[in-house]
Amino acid sequence: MSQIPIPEDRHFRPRLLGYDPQKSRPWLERTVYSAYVFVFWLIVIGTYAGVPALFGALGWDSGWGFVLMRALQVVLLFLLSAVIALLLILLLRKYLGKVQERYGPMHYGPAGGIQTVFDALKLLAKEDFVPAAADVLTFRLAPAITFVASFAMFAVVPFASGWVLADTNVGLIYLIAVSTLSAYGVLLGGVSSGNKWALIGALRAGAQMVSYEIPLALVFLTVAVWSGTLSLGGIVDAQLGLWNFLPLALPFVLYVIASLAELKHIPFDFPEAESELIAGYNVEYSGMSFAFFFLAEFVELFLLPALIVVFFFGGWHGPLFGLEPGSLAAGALESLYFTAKTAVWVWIFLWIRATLPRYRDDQLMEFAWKAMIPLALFGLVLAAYLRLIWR
Amino acid sequence: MSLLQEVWQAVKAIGTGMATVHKRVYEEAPTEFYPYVKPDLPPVSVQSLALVENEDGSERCIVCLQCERACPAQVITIERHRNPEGKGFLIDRFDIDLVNCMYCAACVEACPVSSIVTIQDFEMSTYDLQTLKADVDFLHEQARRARQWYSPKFGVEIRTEDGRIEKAPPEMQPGGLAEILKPAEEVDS
Repeated sequence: MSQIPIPEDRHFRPRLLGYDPQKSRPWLERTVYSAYVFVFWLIVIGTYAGVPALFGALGWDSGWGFVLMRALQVVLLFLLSAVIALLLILLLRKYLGKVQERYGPMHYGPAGGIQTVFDALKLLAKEDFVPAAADVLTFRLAPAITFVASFAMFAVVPFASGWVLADTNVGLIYLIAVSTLSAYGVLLGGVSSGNKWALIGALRAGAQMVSYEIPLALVFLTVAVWSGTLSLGGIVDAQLGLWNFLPLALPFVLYVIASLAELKHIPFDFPEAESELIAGYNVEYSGMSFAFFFLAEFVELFLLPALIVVFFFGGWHGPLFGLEPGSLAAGALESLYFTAKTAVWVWIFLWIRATLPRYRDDQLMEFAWKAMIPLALFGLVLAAYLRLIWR
Repeated sequence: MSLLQEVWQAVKAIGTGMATVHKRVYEEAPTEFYPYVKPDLPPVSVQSLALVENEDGSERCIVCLQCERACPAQVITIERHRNPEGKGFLIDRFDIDLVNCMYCAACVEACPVSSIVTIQDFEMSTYDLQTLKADVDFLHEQARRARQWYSPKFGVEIRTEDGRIEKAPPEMQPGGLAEILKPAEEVDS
């Protein structure tokens, strides 16, 4: 009997860029994250300074030219949200891996840095399947509603002084309106899937998001009362002397808790509780429809910490080192401050996600209605009173 | 008062938990990088079988059929003929069906000359099961490839003071192990 010779190295061992398993190299990981943040920063500068400067030089900053400029900015912001999602998914997986004493993605790119790009490509190439029991129109519409509702919040978030698409004087009301819309997407997506897990997840999501919108809106109102304006730029400017998280400590804590619930993050991840509902409201989604749910989730994971920074941590404020306010360099530096503060809060959200277990559903509602809303009302009254006697 | 105490206890518990989690971030993960780095198996690790030759390349196996009789799964097939010049037998055929073998190492225990041994090669996965019907050449080759093997006659492991099992140095081994190790090291280099 003749044998097929077996070579010494029989097994496929992929050798990819920057991969050395025997060394753990934190500096490589940090370089990868910094590269993502750098791309993010470049897109922010291009959106808020580059495009208006270009259109101003061309003389197209009125009429249809202005519309075109805004459209280009929105396209760039879509690119920005893609970069945010790629970075945050990578960070989430790496961080959870570290906490759970494993490495997370390691194989594609330096320190696993382009793993999420491959994931995105996979989702693009996947079949977008519609189950037979689904209501096709609603099923198709739901991810779009969810994503657009999250993405529309970008319009009023100021990245630096004057770097905002619409610095309206109803910014807070717009935020409340738009962030509530994403509950519709989740609810419609779950109900139209024709799947019992998705239905339960969607109903949970509806109850949870409607409940936690109330303390969230009350905290918005508190900030508005304290700052005396509904414009987000105005709120940031009102914190020049003292950041809001000191006088508004109670609303600040309530905001963090309510935004965790709004994000559907652990400890409030009932709509997608893996161990109970498999994936909850998005269980029947695949391909790009699922990718849009995912994108919406991670855009919100950026935007809600960004709003914490805007409301309570002085937004873009930081030492300017003698740069002239309003110039391009000052704007770039301010947007970097904003990004850094937001990054710290994203990290804290991930940290909470890595630590806490999941609540029980009735505890969640009890907490919202018996603790959060009375405390938010108390915070509102307290802020109004302090505002009267202090300022 | 008790409500405030409850709130304080909850905050303290969450704080303790988050501090514990944060400490974990700086700990090195115990992950093994298996396809890239081979695992460090214990000395006695019954992963596969091999047939050892003597150092001069002559056959160590005396074809006594003890292993064939000892095998509970009956996967060993041996054919032999009488040595025309001198004592003993010569091998015509020595096949081990490694697919159906259950790696109980009863053949290793039975072997009077420690010719058939266990080795640490566990990477036997294949697309073609015929490659696992091992013949005598394959078993010799496996023995040459093996970094280390175990036989009940010689023994290779020692228990250190802190309770770990380690491979014994050749000078501590009872008769002949240093000779057996030599060809393996040559194959490595």
